[in-house]
Amino acid sequence: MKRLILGLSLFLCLNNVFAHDLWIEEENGTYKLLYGHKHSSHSGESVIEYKPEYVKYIKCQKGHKVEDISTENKYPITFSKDCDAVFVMFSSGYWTKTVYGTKNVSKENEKQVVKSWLSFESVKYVKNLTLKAQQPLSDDLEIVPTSDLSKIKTGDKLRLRLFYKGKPAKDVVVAYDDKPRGTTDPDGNINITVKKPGFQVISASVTEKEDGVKTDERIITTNLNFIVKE
Amino acid sequence: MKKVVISFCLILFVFVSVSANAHHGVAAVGAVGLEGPGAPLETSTSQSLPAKSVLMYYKLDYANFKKLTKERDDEGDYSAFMMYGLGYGLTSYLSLYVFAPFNVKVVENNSYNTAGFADPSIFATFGFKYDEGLRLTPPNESLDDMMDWHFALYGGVTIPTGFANIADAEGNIDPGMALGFGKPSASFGFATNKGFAERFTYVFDISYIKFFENEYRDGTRLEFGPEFRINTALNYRLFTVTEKKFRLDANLEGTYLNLGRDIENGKGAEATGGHIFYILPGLRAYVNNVSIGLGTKFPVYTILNESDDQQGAEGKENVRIVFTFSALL
Repeated sequence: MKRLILGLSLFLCLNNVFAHDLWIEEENGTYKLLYGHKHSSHSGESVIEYKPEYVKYIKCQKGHKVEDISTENKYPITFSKDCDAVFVMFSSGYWTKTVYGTKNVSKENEKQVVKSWLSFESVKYVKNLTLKAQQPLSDDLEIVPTSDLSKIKTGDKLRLRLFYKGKPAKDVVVAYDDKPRGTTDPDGNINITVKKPGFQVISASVTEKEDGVKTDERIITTNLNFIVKE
Repeated sequence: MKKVVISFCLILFVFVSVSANAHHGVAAVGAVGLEGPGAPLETSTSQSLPAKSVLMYYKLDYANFKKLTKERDDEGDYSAFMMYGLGYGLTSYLSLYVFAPFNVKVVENNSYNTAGFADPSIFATFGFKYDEGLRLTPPNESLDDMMDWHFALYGGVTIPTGFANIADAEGNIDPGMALGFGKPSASFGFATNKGFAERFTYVFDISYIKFFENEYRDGTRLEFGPEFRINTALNYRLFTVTEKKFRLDANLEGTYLNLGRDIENGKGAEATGGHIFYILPGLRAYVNNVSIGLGTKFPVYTILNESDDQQGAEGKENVRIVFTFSALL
């Protein structure tokens, strides 16, 4: 029953966290970071403009090598690089929900606070589906495919492993197309069935307690993007 | 020897989705519990209990019998079989159960009614699945993992603590009216289930029960005929109300039951045994960690030995009403 209650609380978090999506589109080696509801089941604008400074870092993996990438500080964040996979960390900062509405500020000077959180979102795009060296590119929350993505078709089971701070992350909710599909096992593993061809969005989220001064909690969400041809 | 309905019910458990909810935790919230595989009322599923969880179970099986003769005599009128069960998930793939049946058997002229606790039973189920090879049922499964083929081997024994020598007012003993078999019985079976097309679950199970000869106080030696069952079920998730954590499923079950002829004093007993095919349409509702099932069961095809003399036996029901309640703690 405890697990059920835990489940409920995390599911409620999911409803918040998965309200927007961060995703990467790639064309001829040029990557573009976008934010909005295009791949979300929630209603809202397809693409929402974000502040370029929200992007904290970008990593590019080529083979076994991982390097940081710097970009022009301009919306939308765009870069061209020969990468097998890229990872972008993004933070829109503090958010505080009061009885008067939700603001993009810390809770310190706010009244009638209902809830507050510090938001971190990341996205990983795997371009080279034959990439064998699937590994976490960061120490942040990250979904790593352990299946051979080049062989994945609609209806196949995709095997994933979730990492956080360099270690497998257990008991974390993972969603496919905004719908929670299960939690990771003690080794961070979870299996998801691919239900449609095309652009894939797999999400995971963890919530951590903060000290309650600037915010009550830190919500960290990560997405995995790749393309299934059939 | 007329054999009244064998009181042993082989229901392992019927609490799949809600158990899956707790089992697989989080996403389940409003997801696994509402979207996972369904469970029929009688057909055993192969889903095992979550590790370290406790299942409470109750089943009522009320059988009203056809009256084959005009006389109001000592032939079966109705029976009510109640089953109280407790299950424990030792691991994610091994579950243990204890069942205590309480039986009520009523004859037409009330000359030989019996009621009381019958032989309790202990059971174990061993769960495994196919996911790129056979493997033990893991502690964590996503909703998609739960759509895989799951299997279970199960087995158990009854403990002969029920009153086997219960007699009518004149001291006559009818083993068919007894509250126990006098000797242990052993059963084993195999169950499987598979989710498909998001809302459907197919469930199949096959089982066998072997009874052993018991000598009654009046000197009669009787061995009930073995029971062989094939159950199959199709479960369909009708609708869910996520915010209420409510789910309603429809089930259609079919059972083939082969009852062996009883052996009385070394010879085949008259008016016992046969072949029966039942159907059982029903509904199952889930709310939080509780599940309730209700269905009606009918014999649609029977070939019974000395059929006209089998009033009160399986296959001669007007209807059976099946109600189940289960809660996962």
